Amino acid sequence: MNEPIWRRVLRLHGPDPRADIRDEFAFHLEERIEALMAKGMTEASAREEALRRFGNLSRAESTCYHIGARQARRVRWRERLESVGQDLVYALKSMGRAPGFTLAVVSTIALGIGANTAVFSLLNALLLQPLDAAQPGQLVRVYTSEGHALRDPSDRFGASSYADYADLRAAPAFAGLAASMPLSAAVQRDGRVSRIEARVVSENYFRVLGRPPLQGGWSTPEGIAGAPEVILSHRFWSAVLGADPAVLGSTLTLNGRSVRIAGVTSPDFKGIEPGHVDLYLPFGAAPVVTGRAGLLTHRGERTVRLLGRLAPGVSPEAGEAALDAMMKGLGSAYPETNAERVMAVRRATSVLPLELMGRFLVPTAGLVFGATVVMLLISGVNVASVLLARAIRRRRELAVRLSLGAGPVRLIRQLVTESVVLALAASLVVLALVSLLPRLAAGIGVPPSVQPSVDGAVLGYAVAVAIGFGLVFGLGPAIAGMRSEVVESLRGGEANARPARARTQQVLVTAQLALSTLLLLVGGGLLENLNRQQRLDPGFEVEGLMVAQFEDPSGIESPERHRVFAGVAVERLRAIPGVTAVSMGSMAPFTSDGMRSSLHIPGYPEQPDENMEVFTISAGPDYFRTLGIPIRSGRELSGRVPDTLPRVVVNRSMARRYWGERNPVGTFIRLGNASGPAAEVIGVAADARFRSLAEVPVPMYVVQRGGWGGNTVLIRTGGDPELLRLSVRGAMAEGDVPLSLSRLDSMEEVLQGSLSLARAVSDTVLVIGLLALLLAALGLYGVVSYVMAGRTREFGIRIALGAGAPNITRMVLGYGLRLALIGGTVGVLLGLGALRLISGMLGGNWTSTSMTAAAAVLLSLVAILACLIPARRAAGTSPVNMLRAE
Amino acid sequence: MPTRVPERLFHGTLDALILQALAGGARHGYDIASWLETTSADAFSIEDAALYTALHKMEERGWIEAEWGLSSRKKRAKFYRLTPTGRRQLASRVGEWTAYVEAVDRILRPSRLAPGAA
Repeated sequence: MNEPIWRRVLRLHGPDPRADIRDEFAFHLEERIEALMAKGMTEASAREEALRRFGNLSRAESTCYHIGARQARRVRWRERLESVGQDLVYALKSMGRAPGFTLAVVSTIALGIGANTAVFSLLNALLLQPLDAAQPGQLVRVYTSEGHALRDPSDRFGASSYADYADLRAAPAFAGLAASMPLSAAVQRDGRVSRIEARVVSENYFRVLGRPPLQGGWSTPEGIAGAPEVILSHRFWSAVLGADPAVLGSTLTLNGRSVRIAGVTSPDFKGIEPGHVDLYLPFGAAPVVTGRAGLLTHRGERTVRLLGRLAPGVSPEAGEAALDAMMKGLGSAYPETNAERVMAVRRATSVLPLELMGRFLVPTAGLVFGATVVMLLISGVNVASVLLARAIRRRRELAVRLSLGAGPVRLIRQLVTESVVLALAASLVVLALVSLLPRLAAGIGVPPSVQPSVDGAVLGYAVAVAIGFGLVFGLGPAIAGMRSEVVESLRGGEANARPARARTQQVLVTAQLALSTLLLLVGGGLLENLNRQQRLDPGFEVEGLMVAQFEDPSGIESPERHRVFAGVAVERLRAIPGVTAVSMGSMAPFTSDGMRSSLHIPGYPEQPDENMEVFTISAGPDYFRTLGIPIRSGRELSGRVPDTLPRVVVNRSMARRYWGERNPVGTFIRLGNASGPAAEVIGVAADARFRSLAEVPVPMYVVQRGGWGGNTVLIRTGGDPELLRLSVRGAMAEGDVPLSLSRLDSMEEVLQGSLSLARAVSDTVLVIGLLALLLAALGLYGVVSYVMAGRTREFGIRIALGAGAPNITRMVLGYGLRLALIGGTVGVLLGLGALRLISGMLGGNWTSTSMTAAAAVLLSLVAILACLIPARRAAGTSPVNMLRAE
Repeated sequence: MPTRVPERLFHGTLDALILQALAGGARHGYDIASWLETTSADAFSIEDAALYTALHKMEERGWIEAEWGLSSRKKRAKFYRLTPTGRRQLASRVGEWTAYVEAVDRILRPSRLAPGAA
């Protein structure tokens, strides 16, 4: 049964399904009519009968048409898949045929997408992973702030007081509202004191998260049954207590108070705070454990962070409006503390709360991520030029396939498939390496809540980047390869295609050189800024200063006992030979962000909207002398002071800001507000940097009340800090009452620690920059070799005419250096622009002449190295051999 | 004229009837229709539209395949033929139908299948 020839001709233009159906039905009707007429019907009535028996003809026609179209679509898809499959098989085969090429390209791509994917996986853990909670989409963070004090948008995301929280948690817009705050506490076990990170939480904390503890739990809503009850993190329970089930129900000494272990979190609960949490303590127990009697009742003590689960169907905006209305009520009931407080409710999209995101993290993360993207581009350019060279080398194979009837589009698709497969192979390598990151992170003590992992997002990202890489950097070479194939077959010879290809490669390699210069300059700028910061005078004497944490054996439920023990500790430290001064306070420089508190200054014309919160430190006697901060006027904190008569030393900035030219010594300020306790200003100290080296000194004061101000111990010594370490431990342990200090660090260590993130960033960018330069050097080597190989005949003639080898070497080096000069200039301009942008985001002065010079020298050296081999090859051209080869 | 079988009864079996019509070899649509009419002794009158819809659906499922050819009177016609899948399909349909008929028969006419009960 052969198809008629006319139909076969038509089929060349593709089948016409509608006409086929019509033909089929027409044949049926004709047959039927003929049969009916044979039984004696007239033609007209036979036709009528045939149509009647057929039924709904047009509907059948359209149904059959759709069935056919569906089938045709399916066939087309199958064919398409099959041809992609063929392309894949072909790609794998040709990769296998050139293992050296495959290895080089795959490792170049892996370098490019590896750094990028690794940084992405870190950002994913920090910024994209939802909280480890049931239905995390319903969770929100709740912030409060002073309505008028919003100079910086991140000021909106302030903490709450527990008393406010207790009033707000009844809001019907929330299925649950939990409060928590960090607490660094001392745990005493078997006579040893160690420091742990605790989280004080409201008793509904785990309920709101939907993650009940694995074992146990609070036995009463307050979390106090005789003794305060704590819930251990699974990590602490297994790492420190050896996963001993017997500890459940036993007691632990926390800040000198006995607490009962009531439960353990489940092993897969990563926690929702960006740091380690060793144990969870209920708020009911917090006043005695923290020694802050007013923690639960003072509305002004805003140290509590709120996390809520919205009631079904309530939007964050509606939740915010509801809380705002309640806060307004609190504002009129407690105008002293709550007037003009406003609420902000934001989805809790990641482990990082908004107050930590804004200022530093996002610009820093953006910088490192941006650097890896630039490196990705550079490696892409290298891969593109290797692929182009390969496409041109394969022109014979491509020509054969073209003549066998493969369309150019099909061939381009084939080449792009190959580059995508290469990139996907690289992404497998990268994923294997990135999957080692979690173990690495756990090994260096990264909290589980922010540990990177290879999850769906990272996997999807790596694959998407690989496919994008293969498409972007594969398509250009594929098209160019096809084009040069056509050009060459028309004009006959590679020589004609050479100049065009060389031009493209020159442009690409210049771009590479520019981008790697950009990275080097930015990395160098970061490093230089860091070094400049380190040379900055912090305003106190770093050398010979030690910082420690006093572990109070009494607990601090009794300020009196704390005073006594701290006094003993200070006396013992002062007695150590070589120690010249000792003081205690609420903080040491660079160890915390400190605290701001309001004050009222009689005689100072306060603006109606003025924020009178000033950076505050509490301290005991000798605070400034120990730090080595000179007193400009008046005197230092000293002796004992009754609680009711606090004294303050203000810094120069504060004196200038609030008293102008007048000397504040001898005047009184009021702490809190106009009706707060009066404090005498006894001295003016020089400005010093307390929070970071980068900060511009801000107004601040140090207040001395009856006690020691806090548990941070400062020790000044003339001797070796390392020796001091030993004698400090000895001095604390001897005597009737054993005392202990933890975290005994030299100020130098603290300082380096405070710069460690910035150092990690600048190191990372520099390493990426050097890798990028290496890739660019390889690119330059490739281009110079290629271009110079095309000029072999010219060199041969020059040498034959008497040009010396140094002449030829100079020509080749000159060519390479010209490219480096152009790339370097563009890169320096881009780099200076980028540094300007960064200094706008992170503050500081970043323009860097020495780094520019260093980058230029490095670039020239690398360029000379990259050109050396091609130059020697060119200089060694023998005219005789050259002519023989012609 | 024999009892006409109403369409609702053979509706679910149309596919099986068509497959059976093709069991002996390739046929075009009209041939299938007239074979069904003749073989059922005019008990069925299948609407041609339904017949063609069923044919095209089965072609899509791969039970039958089609090819253009010439009819006995040298006209262009589309011929359908069973595929191996179609043949298996037919066998299983026949099995199902037999079981069904026997079960229905046992219920509707108990005396004939269980003579001892009368």
